[in-house]
Order: sequence, then C-alpha cells, then structure tokens
Amino acid sequence: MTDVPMFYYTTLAALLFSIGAVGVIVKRNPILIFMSIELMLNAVNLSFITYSRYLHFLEGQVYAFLLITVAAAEVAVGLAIIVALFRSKREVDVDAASLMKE
Amino acid sequence: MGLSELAFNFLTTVWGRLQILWSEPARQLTHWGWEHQAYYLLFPEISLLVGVAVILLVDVFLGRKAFNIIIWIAIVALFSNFLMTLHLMYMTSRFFSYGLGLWWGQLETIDPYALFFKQLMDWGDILLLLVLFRYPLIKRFRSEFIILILSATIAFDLMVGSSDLLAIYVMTEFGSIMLYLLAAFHKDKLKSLEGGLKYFITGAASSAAMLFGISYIYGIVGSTNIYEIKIRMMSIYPDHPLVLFAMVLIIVGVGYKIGVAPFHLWAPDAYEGAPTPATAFISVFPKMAGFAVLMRIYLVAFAPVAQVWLPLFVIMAILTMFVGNIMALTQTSFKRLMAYSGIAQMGYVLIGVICAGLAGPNEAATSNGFWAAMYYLLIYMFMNLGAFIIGMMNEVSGGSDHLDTFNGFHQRSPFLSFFMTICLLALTGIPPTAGFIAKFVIFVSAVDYITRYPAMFLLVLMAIINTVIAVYYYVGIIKRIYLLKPLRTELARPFTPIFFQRVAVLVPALASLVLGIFYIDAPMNYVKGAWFMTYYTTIA
Repeated sequence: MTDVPMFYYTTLAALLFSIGAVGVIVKRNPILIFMSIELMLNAVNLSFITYSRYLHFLEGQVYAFLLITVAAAEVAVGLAIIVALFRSKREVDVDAASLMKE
Repeated sequence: MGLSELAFNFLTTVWGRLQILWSEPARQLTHWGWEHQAYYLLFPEISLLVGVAVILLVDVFLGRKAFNIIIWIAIVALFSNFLMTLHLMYMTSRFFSYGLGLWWGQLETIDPYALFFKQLMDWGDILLLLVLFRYPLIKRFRSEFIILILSATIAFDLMVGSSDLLAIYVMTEFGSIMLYLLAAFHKDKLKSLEGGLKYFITGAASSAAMLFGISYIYGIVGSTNIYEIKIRMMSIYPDHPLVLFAMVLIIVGVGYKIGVAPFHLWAPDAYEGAPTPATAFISVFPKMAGFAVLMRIYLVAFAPVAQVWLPLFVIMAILTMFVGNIMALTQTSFKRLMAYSGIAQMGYVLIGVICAGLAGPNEAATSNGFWAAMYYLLIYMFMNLGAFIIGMMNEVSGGSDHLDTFNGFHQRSPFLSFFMTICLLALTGIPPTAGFIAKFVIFVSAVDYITRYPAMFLLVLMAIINTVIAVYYYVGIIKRIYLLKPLRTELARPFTPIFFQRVAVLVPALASLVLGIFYIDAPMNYVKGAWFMTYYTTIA
C-alpha cells in the first residue's frame, strides 16, 4: 500500500482542483459550473484522505464524509436557484444573467 | 386564599426557582454533571433554534395573518439569546472564568471574544426585525424570511466561537447557504435570482478553495484545531511554499465572506438584487462573523508565521480601500453604493488585523490593533445598519433604491433625514461621531509601528487618502437630502414611520453618535483579559 508515494496522490488532488477551478471560470452553463465545484470538493476529499493515510490520523477520513454531506446541502440550494432562474427566463446560461452591470 | 395571593405565591416560587437556576449555575451544573454543562453553554443557540421551530409551527397553524406574532417570537428568541449570552459573559469574565475554554471535542470555544460578537448580532438582528413590522416590499414568504435570518444568526453565533478549521468551514457554509437563499429571495424577480446565482457560484468556489487550504494545513501540521496549529506552527519552517499556498487559499475563502478587494465582485450584484432587509443583513452580519473567524485563524493559528501572510494582508487592505471607494463614486443605486462603501470600510478593519499580526503571536490578543479592529466592527454595525434601515424606509416611501429618491428627503421625513445624516457622517468619519473614533483607534494602532516597519506609513497614508475620497459620496447623499428638490411632487408627501421603526432608527444612529462622544473601553478590558486567558490555559 505504502508503495505509492504520497506525492502522486497530492499531485492528483492538485490537478483535480486546478481542473475544477478552471472549469468554474471557463464554463458558461451553471450546471457545468456546479460539476466543476464538485470536482474541487472531491480534490479536497482526496487530499484529506491522503494526509490521513500517511499521517496515520483517522480524522481526515471523517472530514471527507463531513464534506460530502455539506457539499450535498450546498448543491441542493444552488440547483433550486437555477431551477427558479430557468422558470422565469427559459434558459440557463450565466451570460444571460447579466442584468446588473457597472 | 384569594386569587391575587395565589398568583403572588406562584410568581415568587417561579422567581425563586429561576434565581437558583441563574445565580448559582456552578452548583446546579455540578449536580447535573458534565454533559449537561456542555448543553448549558449552548443555550444561546438552542433558544434561537427553538424560536425557529415555534415560528414554523405558528406559520402552519395561524397562517399568514400572524406575521406580527412571528416577529415577536423571533424577538423573544433573540432576547433570550441575548440574556444567555450576557449570563455567559458574566460567567466567563476574568474574575470568574467558569465555562471558558474549548468544548464539544474542541470544536467550539466559549470565550469573551465569541460572546462579544454573539451579543452584537443579537442587537443588530432585533433592530432589523423591528423594521419588518410594517415593511410592504416583501409580500410573500415573510415568515420564511424571518426563519432564514434566525438560522443565519445561529450559524454566525457558532461560527464566531469555532476553534477548529472544520467547524469554521461547516458553520460558514451553514450561514452562507442561508445567505444565498436570502439573496435570491424574490424568486420571481430576475435581478434577485441573478444576484443569488452569482453569490452562490463564487461562494461555493471560494469555500472549496478554503477547504483545499485547510487540507494542506492538516497535511503540514497534522491537526485542524486552531490552538494545536498554533503550537505546531512555532516549530515548522515558515518559508515552505506550501505554507504560503495554504494561507492564500484560506484567505480566498474567508476574504470572500467579508468581501475584501480581490474577492468582492459578488457584493454589488447580490446587494442590488436582494430584498433590502436581506441586503442590510448581508452587509453587516457575515462581515462581522467573517472577521471574527479571520482574526481567530490568523491571530492565533497562523500568528507564529505572520511574516508569510502580513504582506498579502497589506496589499489586500490597500486594494480593498481603493476599489471600494473609487467604485462607489459613480454609483446611482443606494444599495450598490452601500456595497462598495462596505467593501471600503472592511479595508480599515484589515489595518487593525495587520497591526495585531505585527504585535507577535503572544501579544496579538492584547494589542491595540486587535481591539481597534473589534471596535471598528462594533461601530460599523451600528452606522451601517442605521443607514440601511433608513434606506429601507426611503425605498418604501420613495418607490425605488435609486439615489434620486433621496432628493428632498427632508421634506418627506425630517426625522429620518436627520438620523441619516448622523449615520452617513459616522461612515465618513467626521469628528463628533463614533466613526471618527473607530478610524482614529485604527490609525493610532498603525502609527505605533511606523518606526519599525516603514511600510505601515504607506498604509496609513493610503487609508487617510481613502477617508477623503469617501467624503464625496457620503456627503453627496446628504446634499441630495437637504439641498436638492424632490423629483416628483408626490415624493414630498410626508412619511411617518411607525413607533418600532423609529426605535430601530434611533438606536443605531444615537449609538454611532454617543459612542463618538464617550469612548467606552469596558468591553475592551473584558475581551482582552479573558481571551488572553483562554489562550494560555490551552497552551498549558
């Protein structure tokens, strides 16, 4: 098990996080933005579990469960906002939501 | 036995029981045992939770007619929260340090620092609820609005006491989810939904960034407890790039909550779209809770490696003040203007945090900068809430939140105009008001470090330049109120606020005047003394 160096896991987590962050910036569809945010959160989970494994503290794995729960609650609210937006506008696009500008 | 005698006997018995419960908690608690003791310390939050539950039931059974009853229930819940907090403040004062310390698996701290912020939030919430007694602009889902505000207050109450990075994250998320809903409250208005969506997307992304930072801190020091991190941070190599990286990520998360400069972009849109009471809530309470958390993270956990984060904070403070003030100059909407003004005000608080960071890990909690930042937040709550409450009433009587509706406001209501002037002068920082004292203590604490750190001179200079810029738009509103003529004749028709609204205007406006004339340092001694103590008992 410990044959795989920790570096691999942390690099993967950092990569996943970066992909998610870029997705949040680049994507125009709110649903895809949410997927990118989920990717970021899962990168965090991976990072926590990696450190938990290599530091021999079990706390980190408990944190991962906690984060999954919180993320689910967060996305429920976000999807509700998107559904409400879709109902009044009949399209979901962040460029369409640009009533307020400088 | 007569009825009056019976009633008297009953009341004296109840009073006797209450006295036992309230005046000898230590004895009672040893009797109840350890677990009950921990619940006892959660009573402030539990009272709010009970309030939320009762409001839900009342809403189901009495329907929409009972809106005034619902507000009264919320006020009673907040007031019992206030009494419990006051009681805990007495118990945790430095003469009688009962209950002080870390609780519930070291996730939450009961200390004067947290209780100070819990109290401020009670006062502010009650003031905001008083206005809602007659506020016609939220017609549907009014009781849900109250529930969201109360739930967010529970979240912020627990957030200011969090002493574990994970507890901080969970409570921040809890509060933020309530705020997303408040921002997107008018679900048939596109502006509100748009503001809510922007708030949500940036908020979720920045929380994820903060979590990534937390996971790195966990990896570096092997713990997420604030006080553990502080001890272990003393022995790490601070120039490691991962330390800087983790701190930057955590600043992204927390800085977003308080709306400081590179992370402020959500603020104007969310403010403009949200219903005005929600905007007033968003503009004060998350910022206070966020700063409480920011100071706890950076002045306790990361204080030993202050040289890593201080330069970032200096850049952020300067950027925050300039962006906020310069963008505010051209705004035509009152809510957008207050959004940028709120951003600019947070820059001054950051100067206080920087000074406390410069004081060093062991002196941060007793430094002038720490106190100055807390005092600024106290004053900011009063003056900003006062301005917003009057802005709400202007919106009700004037029809929109455009700044033009302030033209000739004194013909509509001389009472509101006068107190609006006080609040705006306080926000500017003109001498007889509390805003001046707040800025003054910030600048004094910064000037102390000029000889040792020349960069602080630049920071103070920038802050003073910004105070001057801010005069333009704050006094611009006063000019509209008193010198310009109303746009339409119906805007000159007199508007009389109801009694509760008058109270909600008088309290913050007078507070931001009186606290400027009498400088009160009693809370300072209280907070300083006992936070210090928590900190040492934990180290030992």
